[in-house]
Amino acid sequence: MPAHVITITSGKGGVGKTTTTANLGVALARLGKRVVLIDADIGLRNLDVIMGLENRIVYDLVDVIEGRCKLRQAMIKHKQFPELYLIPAAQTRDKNAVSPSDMLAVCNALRPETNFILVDSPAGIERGFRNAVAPADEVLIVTNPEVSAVRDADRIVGILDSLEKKIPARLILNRLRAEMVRKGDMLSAQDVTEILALPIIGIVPEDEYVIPASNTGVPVALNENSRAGVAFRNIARRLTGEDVPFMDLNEQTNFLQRLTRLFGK
Amino acid sequence: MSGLFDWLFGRKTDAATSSTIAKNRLQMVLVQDRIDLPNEQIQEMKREIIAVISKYVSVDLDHVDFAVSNRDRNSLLVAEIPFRKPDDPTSDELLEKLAAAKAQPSIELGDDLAGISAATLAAPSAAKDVPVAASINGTDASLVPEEDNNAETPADAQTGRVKDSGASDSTIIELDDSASTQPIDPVEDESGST
Repeated sequence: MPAHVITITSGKGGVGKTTTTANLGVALARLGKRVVLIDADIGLRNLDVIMGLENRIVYDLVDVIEGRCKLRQAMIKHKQFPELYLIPAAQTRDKNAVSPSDMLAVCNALRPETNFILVDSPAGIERGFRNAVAPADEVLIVTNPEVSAVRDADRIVGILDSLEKKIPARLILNRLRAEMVRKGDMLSAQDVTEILALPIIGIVPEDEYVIPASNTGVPVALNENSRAGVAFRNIARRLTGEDVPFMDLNEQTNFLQRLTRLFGK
Repeated sequence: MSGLFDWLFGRKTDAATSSTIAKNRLQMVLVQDRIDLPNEQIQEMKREIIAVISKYVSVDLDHVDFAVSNRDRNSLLVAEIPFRKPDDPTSDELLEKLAAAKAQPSIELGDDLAGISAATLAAPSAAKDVPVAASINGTDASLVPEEDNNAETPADAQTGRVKDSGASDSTIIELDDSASTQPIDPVEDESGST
C-alpha cells in the first residue's frame, strides 16, 4: 500500500493548518487507514499539543534526520487509533535543521507501510514551507474567507505553479460563517474559489467546539456534535476517493434551538 | 470607478456590501501580486499609455480609469479612456459623420486606431501618415465619447475591438497580456465614405 503524501499548508499563519492536519489524521484513522502525521514546523511545534500527545515525545523529526534514533522510535502511537502515528517537530532547533531531501528520505522510508502521510507545514514561504512540500504528492491549501488569508494562499499557489515538479493543489476553506456570508459581511466559498481558481475539497464552518478540543487534546473530528468535525470527516472521506456532498452550512437561528444550547445539550 | 467594477465583474450597482468590496480589492491586489510589477512602474506605464493615446485623440484626463482584473489565473489590464468632448459648433456635423460611420459595421479597426475620428474614416488613405485627430474645417476633430450618442448601441466599429464585453458605455481598450497582441492594421474602409 504505497502511501499518499499530503502536505497541508497555507501561507498565512493561524488559519487552521495544524487543526486540519490533526483532524484529517484522526478522521482517516477512523476510516481504518494507516496514517503518519509529521509536524514540519521545527522550532514552533504544535501538532503534538493539538493531538494530546505532548507528554509522550521522546524523539523528534530532527533526531531521526541527524541519526540519533531510528525512524520507528520517533513515531508516537495514538492511544485510540493504533494505526495513527505522529512524528513531532523539534522544539529547540529551527527550520534549517531539516532540508527538502531529508523530508523526502523520511517519507520514502514511511511509504511502503502507510496509506496516508500528512505533513503539517509551517506558515510562510521560506525553508520550512519548502521542506514541507518537498515530499508531497498533493497539497491542501487551508485558507480563511478573509482578505489577508486569501492573498497569502494565492502566493502559495503561485509558488507551487512555478515549481518544476507540478503538485496538484486543492483548497480547504476554514472558519466560514454562513450567517455573515448571507449578510454580505464575509467572502463566500464561491468568491474564494473564483478568486483563487482552485478546486475546493472542503468547507469547514466556524465552530465553538474547536477551542475546547485543542484545550483537551481531542480533535473535533471525534466529537459527534461538532459541525466542523463533520466537515473534517467529510474531507477525509473525499481524500479516500468517496464523493461526499458539501454540508448545508446555514446556521440554526431558531430561537428555541439557541435556548437549548444555552442550557447545554 | 464603481462603474468599471460593475462592468468588469458583471454585478448590479445595488449593494456595495463589505464582502463585495473585499472581493474587488482582492482581485485587484492579486493581479498586482501576480504580475510582480512595482506600483511606481504601474503608474509610469499608465502615464505612458495616456501619452500615447493623447497623441491621436484628446483625452479627458479627469476620467481616465485603469483596472487590472483576472480571469482564471490570467491577468488583464483594462483601461477606460474617455475622449474630451469638443466645445466647438461643428460637433453636430461630427455626430452626423459618426452616425454614418456607425451605419457601416463592416469596418474593422485595429487597436491603435480605436476612437478614430470621422474625418479619418472618410479619408482612409490619410490615416496611415496623419495623426488621427485630423482637422475638420480647421477645428480640432476630437472624437465625441460614445455615451453622448446612443448609450444603447453596443460596442461597434467605432470603438475598435472590444473583448468580452456586454454593453459598454465608453471607449474601452483591453490589453491582454496572456494572448499575443494583434498586429497593427491600417483602416480599411470597405464600404465607401461620405
